[in-house]
Amino acid sequence: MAMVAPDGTRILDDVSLEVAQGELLVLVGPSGSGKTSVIRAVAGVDEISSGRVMFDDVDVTKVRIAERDVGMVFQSAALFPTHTVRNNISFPLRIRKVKEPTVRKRVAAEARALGLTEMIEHWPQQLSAGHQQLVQIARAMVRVPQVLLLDEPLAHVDRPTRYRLRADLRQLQQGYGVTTLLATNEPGEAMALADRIAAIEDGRIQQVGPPQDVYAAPADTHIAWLTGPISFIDATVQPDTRGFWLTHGNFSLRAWAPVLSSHVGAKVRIGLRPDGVRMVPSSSTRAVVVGNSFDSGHPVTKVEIGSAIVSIEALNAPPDTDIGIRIDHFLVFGPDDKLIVAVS
Amino acid sequence: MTDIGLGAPAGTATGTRATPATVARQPFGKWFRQVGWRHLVGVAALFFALFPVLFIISSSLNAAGTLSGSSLIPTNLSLINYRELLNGTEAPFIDWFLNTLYVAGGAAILNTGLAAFASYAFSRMRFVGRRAGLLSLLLIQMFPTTLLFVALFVFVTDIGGIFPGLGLGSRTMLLVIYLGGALGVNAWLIKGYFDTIPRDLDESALIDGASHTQIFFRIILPLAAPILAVVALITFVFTLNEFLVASVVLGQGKSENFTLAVGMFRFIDGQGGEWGQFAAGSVMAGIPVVVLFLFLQKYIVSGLTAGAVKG
Repeated sequence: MAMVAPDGTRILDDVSLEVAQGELLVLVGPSGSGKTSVIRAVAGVDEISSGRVMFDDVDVTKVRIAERDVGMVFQSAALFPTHTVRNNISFPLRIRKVKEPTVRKRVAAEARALGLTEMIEHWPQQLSAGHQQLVQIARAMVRVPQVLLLDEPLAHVDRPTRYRLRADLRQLQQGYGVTTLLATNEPGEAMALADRIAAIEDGRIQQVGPPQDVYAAPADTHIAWLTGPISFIDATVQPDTRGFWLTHGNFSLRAWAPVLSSHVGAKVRIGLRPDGVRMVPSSSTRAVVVGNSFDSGHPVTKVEIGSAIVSIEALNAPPDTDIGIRIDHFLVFGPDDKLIVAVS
Repeated sequence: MTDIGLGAPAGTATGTRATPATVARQPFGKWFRQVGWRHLVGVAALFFALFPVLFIISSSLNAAGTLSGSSLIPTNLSLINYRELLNGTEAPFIDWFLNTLYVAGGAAILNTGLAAFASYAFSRMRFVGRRAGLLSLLLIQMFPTTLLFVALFVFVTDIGGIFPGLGLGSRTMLLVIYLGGALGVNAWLIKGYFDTIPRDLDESALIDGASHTQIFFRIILPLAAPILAVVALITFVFTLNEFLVASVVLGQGKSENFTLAVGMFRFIDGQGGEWGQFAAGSVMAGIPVVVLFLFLQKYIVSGLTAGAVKG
């Protein structure tokens, strides 16, 4: 599908996604990449200029929002301030004239599942950001919609709560088996929740696949960033009788991949995931410990390889220690930031 | 005890604020420059605002019924002006009062409602002519009321030829004219407020299956209570005081159909000179405004302090 802004800017271009029944597909992309637009198009809040939105085999492109059978959680707390938590959660049922005993039962069940029972009579503005999002999730799920849409649902929630909410969300989603589309720009969230990841940039889907696959072979450096920590070393490709060398100063890395033959002499970027680098005392590849710190909440050790600073899994080594390292797997990106090859 | 106050002497129990004693020890000159002069301005403004009120109350209690015979402290206190007004010996005051409540109350309620409907459309929907509509609403408001008179007079006379109940002297006609009159300003005011209510709320309700009507009545209107209260109050006070249009529409009709503004002007226009009754009438005319304000104040304040709408 495509979406064009009134001024002619293409917001979404040739986006095609298929989400399986009960699957949780995570849309990752930087701010302004079009994640939210995809979600809003599926919800029917924004119109698409071409293409179709299908639920199962039914074309819902022209179906009114109210009849689309989706639940949606917004990034900001879109709770009705003049309704209590109970009335917020029951809103979708009451609007659809569901019978009162059923409403009560569903609201109670949903509140229990998300731990909201104690604050059921509170006003939304009395709740923390985390609880507000839980209420939104409860409201979206209370009808058990065909499709659940989550637009950066945990962006405004503090980190410890976020981890807990992720678990809650995943459990609830799997429990109901509801087909889910979630947008985020947080690598941890994407990796933790996704059955599959779709990376989106400038309104185009760049890569779709299971989180492990996207992590191991991201299509470009941006997606590499969006799916986890990574460090880069600039290097030059040099041919050898039995493969290639990626060299940078006095550091060199052997790569066998034949695809590098078309990049001989070219500048490339080596991408190193922290888990791809190990300390091996007897290695001839040397690195110097720069310091120990934290990278998005995880302890890491920063080492200098060649003249590039690289984050690797935490070592108990004081700064300035000279260590031997072994690079188990790495990524090679071209000057256009596209992946050339993932080596392991 | 740990003292966490800034600049407070160590050992004071309440170290977070300067104690009254330290304030009192400030030199008078400094206190006056920072705080005191505001009191002077306040007192002067208060005097300015209260003087007419005091004067009208004292004249209303003055049996003489003339301006020259009245002073700020009345010499011969009496309720005769009120008694004469309420007995209706000289004029149907109670009719005027009820007429005014009918016209002003009706205008306040209907005008607020209509303006809210219009604002919702202007704030939430995108349609051809939206911008033009908004601008022309604003433009039309800029013409002074006096431009209206001739057209209104002819219009109302003609209508009266077809529907005698709505011709000159009809209170309902006056109400209808007021409905159109302030719609523009009110629609702009309310639209401005609606624009601050996040659209996420609408969209969320839409996805939950609500129609525009349900969103308007269940989500937007309750949130906009403060501005609705303000608009209703402004309209009520304006309509209550409005004289020019009212005298064009009602002035030639039966005196039972007058509003307070039209009727009470008769007390003082030249030959009458019934200042005592005029003053008593003015005092009583102020009562509904005060009552309405006290009643709506709760909504204005509670709506604002709830601070529910976060972006």
